Amino acid sequence: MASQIKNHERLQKLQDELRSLISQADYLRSQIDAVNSTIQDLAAVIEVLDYLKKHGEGKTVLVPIGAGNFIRARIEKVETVVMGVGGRLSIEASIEDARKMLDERISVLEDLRLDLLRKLEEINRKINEILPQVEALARQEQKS
Amino acid sequence: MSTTEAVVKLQKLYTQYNQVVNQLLALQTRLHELKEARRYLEKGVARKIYREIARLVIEVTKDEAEKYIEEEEELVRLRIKKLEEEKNKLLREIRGYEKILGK
Repeated sequence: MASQIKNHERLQKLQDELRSLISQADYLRSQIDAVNSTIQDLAAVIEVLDYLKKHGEGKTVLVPIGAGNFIRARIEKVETVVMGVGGRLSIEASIEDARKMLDERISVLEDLRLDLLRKLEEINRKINEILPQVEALARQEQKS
Repeated sequence: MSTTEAVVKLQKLYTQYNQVVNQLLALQTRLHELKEARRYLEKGVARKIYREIARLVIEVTKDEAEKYIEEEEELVRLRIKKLEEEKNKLLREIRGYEKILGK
């Protein structure tokens, strides 16, 4: 009887730990998705900047004004770009400087993604360690 | 206090605690954003600086931008301090109820 109670307590403890690890893994996955999406956004900006620098001057573009509507506009100047730097501030910088800053941001985000992936791997490893123990204890409890 | 009442109270406290933690995270992100903005201003690559107020974007001088960052950082730090106190108070209450429930 005493060993059954002990097993039950251990099972509950491991199940709690497992739940906590699974929610941590979910959270990390959502963070990785967010980082990936930001990296993709920044890469798209770089693509636009490179295009504008080469072919942008004088080109007519369609500017989105919301709900799938556009107005036509002509690009007057391609030497500088206004970029958000956080804290509700933007700076006007040369395309070269802006590109450097965007590359820098991507590099920081890639490091962060790697760090998150490592953490996720560690958590998955722990889950894979605990899961068979939970299954075994649950089987034992069912038998007794 | 009955066990049921203690469990209900504990769940309410957990919810409040999570809300405070989320607010703290948002403020810490804001503080980090301001630090990043300052770093970009200090790089000296800005030909012009703009500040967003609601939907309006206004050109500001470097001094104005730095002053705005400083003021905003101070405000955010004060709010973080207040929320940290609230978080610790909630944590003490949570620990108390967890003890009652033998957790």
